[in-house]
Amino acid sequence: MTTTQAIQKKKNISDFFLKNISFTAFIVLFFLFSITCSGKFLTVDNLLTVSCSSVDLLICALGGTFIIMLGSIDLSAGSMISLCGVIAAKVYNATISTTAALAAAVAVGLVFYAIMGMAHTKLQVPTFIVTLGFLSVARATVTMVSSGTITMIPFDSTFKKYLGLKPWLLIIGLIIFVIVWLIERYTLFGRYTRLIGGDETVARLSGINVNRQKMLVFLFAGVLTAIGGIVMAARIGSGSPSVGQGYELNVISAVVLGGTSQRGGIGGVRGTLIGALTLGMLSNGLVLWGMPSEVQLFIKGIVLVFAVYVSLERSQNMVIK
Amino acid sequence: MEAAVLFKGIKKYFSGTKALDWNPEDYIEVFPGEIHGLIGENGAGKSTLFQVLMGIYERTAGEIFLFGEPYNITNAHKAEEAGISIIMQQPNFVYNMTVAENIFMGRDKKFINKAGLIDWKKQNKATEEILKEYKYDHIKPTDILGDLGFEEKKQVEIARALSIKPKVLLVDETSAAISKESVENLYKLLREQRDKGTAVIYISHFIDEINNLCDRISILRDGKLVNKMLVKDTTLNMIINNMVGRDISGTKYRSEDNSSIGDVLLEVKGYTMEGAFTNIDFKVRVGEIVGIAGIGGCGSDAFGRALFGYEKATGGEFIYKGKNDPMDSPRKSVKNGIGYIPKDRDREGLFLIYNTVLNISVANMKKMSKKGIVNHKLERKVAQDAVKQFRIKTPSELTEVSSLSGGNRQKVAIAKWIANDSDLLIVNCPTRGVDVGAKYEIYKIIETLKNKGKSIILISDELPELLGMCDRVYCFRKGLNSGEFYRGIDFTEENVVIKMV
Repeated sequence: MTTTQAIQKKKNISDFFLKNISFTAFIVLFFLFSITCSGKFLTVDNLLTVSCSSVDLLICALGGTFIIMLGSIDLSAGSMISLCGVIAAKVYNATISTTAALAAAVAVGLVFYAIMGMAHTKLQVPTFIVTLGFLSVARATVTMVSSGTITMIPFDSTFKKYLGLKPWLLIIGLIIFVIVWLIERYTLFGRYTRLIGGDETVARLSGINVNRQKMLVFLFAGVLTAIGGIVMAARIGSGSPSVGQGYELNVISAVVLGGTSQRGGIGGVRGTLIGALTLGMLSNGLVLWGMPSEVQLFIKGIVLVFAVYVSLERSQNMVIK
Repeated sequence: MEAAVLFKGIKKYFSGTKALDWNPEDYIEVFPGEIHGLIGENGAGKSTLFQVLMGIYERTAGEIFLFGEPYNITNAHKAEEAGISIIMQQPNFVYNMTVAENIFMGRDKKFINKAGLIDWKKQNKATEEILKEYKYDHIKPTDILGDLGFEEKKQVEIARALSIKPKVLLVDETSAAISKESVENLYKLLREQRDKGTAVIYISHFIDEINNLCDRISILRDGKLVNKMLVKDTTLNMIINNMVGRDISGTKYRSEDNSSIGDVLLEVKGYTMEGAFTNIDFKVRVGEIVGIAGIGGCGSDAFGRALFGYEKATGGEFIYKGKNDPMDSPRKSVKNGIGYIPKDRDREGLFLIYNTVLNISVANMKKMSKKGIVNHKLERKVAQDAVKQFRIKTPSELTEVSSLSGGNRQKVAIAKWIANDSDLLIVNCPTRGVDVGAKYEIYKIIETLKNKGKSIILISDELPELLGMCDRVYCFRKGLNSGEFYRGIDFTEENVVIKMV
C-alpha cells in the first residue's frame, strides 16, 4: 500500500465516523452507560423509560428537521410545546374529550406557526429572528392563558393512557416517525423541502413556489410541535406554563446530531430518530451517574456545538470535493 | 525615454484556461505622458493584465519593469505605494461607510492623532479637497457610499484613484456605464493626467473612444498580444479585424436548413427595465434560434432574466403564444413551457450538492409524480436516458453534479429543460467555461431542439457562436436595440461588432 492509499484509507475511516456521528455516539454512549451504571441502565424497564421520554422530543424534532432542512431554524419550539400542552390539558379538563383536546392544541400550533411562516415569507424576516421573537410571544401567551398555574391531567384518563404511557406512547411515536419519514422520502412536499434547502435560487429558477413551500413546512412543523407538546403534557401529567424552557436546544441538537446540515438540503428524519434517542439516553445516563441537572445542561450545550462543528465540516466537503 | 511600465512575455494560467499567453518576446511599453489603449474582445485578457500589475494575480511567467526596475509586487496595497492606481470595472467599496472612509481606506494612518484615533475632521477636509479638485463637489465626504447613485460611486472611485497621485493609472471600462457628461469629464481628467506626465493605460470596448483619447493601442485576442499600433495610422476596420482575427467560415456550427421556422411564439414591444434596457422590440418564432449580442453591461443579461420573470420589466408588452400575459415569476414561465439556462450555471442553474436525477427532474415534477407522490423509478429512468442521449460523462446518474466537469454540468442544466419539453429556452452563455468538445455537442443539442420546433433565445458574448448558431441576431448597446441581422444576408462579425461598440 502506498502512502497516498494509506492516507486515503485513513480519510475514509474518519469520513465514515463523521458521516455517522449520531450512530457512533449512540453506540458509544450505550456501551458506556451499560458498563458504568452498575446494571441500572441496561434493563428493559429503563430502556423503555428512555425511549418513552424521548418521544416528545422526537416528534418535535421531526418538524424541526423539515425546518432546518429548508436552511431555516426554529427557536420557538420550547415555548410552543408548553403552550400546546396547556391548551390540550385545559380543553381536556373542560370537555373530557381527547379528540377535542388534540384538535384545540393542533389548531393553536397551526395558527402560531402560520403567523411565523407568514412573517418569514411575506415580510422577509429571517426565521432566526421570527422564531426568537415567538419564543417570547408564545411563552407570554401560555403564561396568560394558564394564569401561571399548572393544569393537571387525571392519571386514569384516556388522554394520559393513550398519549402519555407505554406502550401507546411508543407506538404513537413510532407511527408518526414512519409517516414523516415516508413523507420526506416519497412526496413532492419532502422533495421540494430538500431542494429549497439545497439551493433556494436554483429551486426558484426551476419553477418551484418557494414561499408556498416554506409556508407549508411551517404548518407541518406546527402540527408536529403541537403533538409533541400534547405528548409531553400527557407524559408528565400536566400542562405547565414553565415546561420546555430551553427545549429548543434539545430539538436543534437532535436534528443536527442526526446529521441534518443546518445550512439545509442535507440530512433527514432517520438521523433525527437516532439523534433524539441519543440525547434521551445521554440524559438518562447522566441521571443514573447522579449528575445534577446543571451539569446535564452543560454537557448538552457542548454536544450541540460539537454536532454543528461536525455537520459543518461534512457539508463543506460535499460542496467542495 | 524610459518606459513607465514594460510588460514582457506575460503569461497567466488558471487551472485549465490560459487567460494570458504571450510569446516570450512580446512586450508592451507605456511611456509617461501617454494614454495607451488596451483593446480586445471579452476574455482577451485585458483585465487580467491589470490584475497582474496590481498584484492581485501572480503571473505564471514573464517580466514587468516599473521605470526600469524589476517589479514583483504581490498585493494591491504595495502596488499603490509604488505609484500604480486603478479605476476598476466594479469598484471594491464598503457600502455602509462614508465617502471619506472609502477614499482613504488603507491610507488613513496619516490622520491618526496623538490619542491614536482617526481625526475624522481632518480626513473629511482632505476628502472635500480631493472631490473639489476633480469637480465632484456634489458628493459630500460624509455621504454613505451605498446611498450614492451608480454614477456617483464611479466618481468616488475615480477620485480615489487619482488622489493617490499615481505615476501609472489603469482605467478599466469605466465609460460603459456612465452618462455622456461624466464621460467627457473623465476624458478631461485623463488628459490632464497625461499632460502631468502620468502613464495611463485605458481599456475600452468603444473604439471611437480609443480614437478620441489614445496615442497608441495594443490589441489582445484570446490571451495573446496580436498587434500594437499608432492610432493615427489605423482605421476602425483594421482594429476590428485585429480584435476578431478568426476566420470562422471553416467552422461548421449547424446546417442551413430553416424549414423548422414557423409562427411567432413570443413578441415583446417597448420592453423596458429601468437601469438595464429601454424600449426593446423583439420577437422569436417557433423553431428559430435568435441571438442577442452585446458587451458586458449592454442589458442583454437583464433582458433574458426579465423574459423569464426572474426580474421584473417596468414597461412594455409581452405576447406569448398569442396572449398578452407577462411572466411575472419563474414559476409561471416554467408552467408555460419556458426554460432558462443562466450564465452563472453553478449558482443559479444547478443544485451542486445533488445528483443528476434530482437536477433533471426538478423542473418536471408534475410529470415525475402522481398525486404528490414522487415516482423515483421514472425520474431515474429519465435521467439515465438524458445521460445517454447527451453523453454526459458521469460515473452514474446518482453522482453529485459538483464532481462533473463544466461541460457536463452544462449538459445537465440543459437536459432539465429538455426533459420537461419546454417550448422556449432562454440560454445565456451556454458554452462559457466549457471545453471545445462539449461545446460542439451543446451546439448540436441546440440545433436538434430547433429542428424539433423549439425556440431558442441565445444570449452570448461570443460572436462566432452567435453567428454560427442563430437565424437572427439582435444587437444591444447600452440598453438599446442597436441593430438586427439576418442569417445569410448580413451575418459578419464586422457588421455586428460595429453595432456593439
